Amino acid sequence: MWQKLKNNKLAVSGFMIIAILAAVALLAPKIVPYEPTSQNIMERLQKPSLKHLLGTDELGRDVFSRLVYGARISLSVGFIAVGISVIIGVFFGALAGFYGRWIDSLIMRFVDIMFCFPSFFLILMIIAVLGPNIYNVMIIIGITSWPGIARLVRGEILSVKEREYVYAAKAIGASDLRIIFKHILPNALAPVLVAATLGIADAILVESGLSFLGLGVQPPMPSWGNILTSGKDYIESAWWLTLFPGLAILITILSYNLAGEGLREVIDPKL
Amino acid sequence: MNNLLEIKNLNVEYYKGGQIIPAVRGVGLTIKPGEIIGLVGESGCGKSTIALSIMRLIPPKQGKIISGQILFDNKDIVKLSEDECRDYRGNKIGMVFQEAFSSLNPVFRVGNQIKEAIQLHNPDFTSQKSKQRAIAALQLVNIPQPEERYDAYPHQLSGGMQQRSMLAMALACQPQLLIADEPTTALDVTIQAQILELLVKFRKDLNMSILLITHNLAIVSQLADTVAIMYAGQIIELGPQEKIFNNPLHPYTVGLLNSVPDIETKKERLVQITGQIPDPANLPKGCLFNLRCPAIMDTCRRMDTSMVEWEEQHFVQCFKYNPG
Repeated sequence: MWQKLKNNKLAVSGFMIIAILAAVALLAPKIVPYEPTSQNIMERLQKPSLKHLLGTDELGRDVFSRLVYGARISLSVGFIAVGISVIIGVFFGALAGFYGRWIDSLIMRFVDIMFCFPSFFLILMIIAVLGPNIYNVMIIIGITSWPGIARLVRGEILSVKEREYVYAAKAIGASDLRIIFKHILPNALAPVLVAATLGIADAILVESGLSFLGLGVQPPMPSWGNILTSGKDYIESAWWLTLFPGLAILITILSYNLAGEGLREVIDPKL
Repeated sequence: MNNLLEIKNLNVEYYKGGQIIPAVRGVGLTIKPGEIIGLVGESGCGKSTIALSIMRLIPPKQGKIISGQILFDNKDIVKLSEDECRDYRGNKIGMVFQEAFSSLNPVFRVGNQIKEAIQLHNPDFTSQKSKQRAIAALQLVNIPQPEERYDAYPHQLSGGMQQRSMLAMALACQPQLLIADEPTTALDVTIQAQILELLVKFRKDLNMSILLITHNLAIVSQLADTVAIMYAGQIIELGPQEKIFNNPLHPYTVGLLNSVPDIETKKERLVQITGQIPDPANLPKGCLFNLRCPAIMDTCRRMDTSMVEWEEQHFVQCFKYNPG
């Protein structure tokens, strides 16, 4: 399986970029040349140079430093939001798939209802009520994106639970919960891994979008989305303010998608 | 001697698309401690359903035990709650399935699966002690280098090795009854012989009773003390192995034995029983075998048959032997 993954160059590059991004985010304080929030009005709107690798913004803050700290936000939002959605989705999907009947109908109809809402607007609405901050963003993205995972897990469990080893587990006297979580789920998780990888990309995009609209991460805390927002007023005079955060988002999303697709190709024999 | 297991008038139904399908009809069977019973019949005659009933593993959405008793140590399994059932499964009654490979969970090491069976029924055991027990179980089924095999994944083992591991899992808690549902069907003959030898050894060493489900008459003639022949959800003939094989009574049993190829007589074609087993959803009136029976009489089409003791310990369900 690793061999197959290694042969997929695009997926490997995806994983490598993710690894680099993660390292950058973790080591942010050691990498950045300037404090991301320290202003220096004398050096505002400077072009990229050796002193300021990616230039400065309208308050004289170093764009490179802000992007590095923005990576922290984006990645943690991605991971935590997807973590929440995977936990909820796997739990409800497993219940629905294993027990079937009315539990299945109840959960799956609720999932159908969740799919009816355009999720971005649903998130906007909840944020409007709860108030914008980074933790709300993570939680809300998490609790609005689990239905897809639940559906996926349910489908997998429906097929796995009829396998003989599930009967064998029953025959040695294992309980329902033990069978679901110990015997069935590990056999049903491969597609969830793929969905989660792709889901991180989605979550990062949503966070960027929310921050761009001013409903996500609040300034002066830097996030790729809100760097874009402040940059849009200067798009004609200071291109670096929008180009670099835009590129950062693009590369990140692309690498997660490549990694996710690569995983899918390895895991899913039907492709 | 007391009976270890006593099945009385067991009726099991399956549901399919709103239809009720009787899979087991009025079956009675007793197993004594240390006895090997061979349950023989064609595919779909209800053999496995009886096994699943004893384990209380009939999928609740698909079927149900309608009536009857399954007394294990004089306790009715049919009436047990789900929690009490779990205490029986694996602990007092072990089960081996037909396809060992698909019965082992592919994502866990074999040893851990055996260890799990031990820990489920011995919660006070330390992890180390359970592991030692699991290795001992692997040793018991003649797996070479059990310490190393403990860490193997199912796909790393051969078919025979997998079936042995399944046996080890079923035997880990030293159950009083082992249900072996076609344990050797997926194996080649040499491995088959080894597995069957193991079964005999367990019976001798552990005084374990074995319910051996198979459609292989040769296996039954070698191993079983008692043989039960099933047809369309009923046991139609039951008796000691020698009597069944030397003096088969029911026309179906006679047909089955005739259809076994004999190495000494050279036959152009194997003798077959004409026709097919009746659709369980649409059983014929009267004797269930009446569509295929070579010795059919008028009564067979009109009246239901019942079990009679033709000679000592030899029961048959056929009007030929039950004129009344």
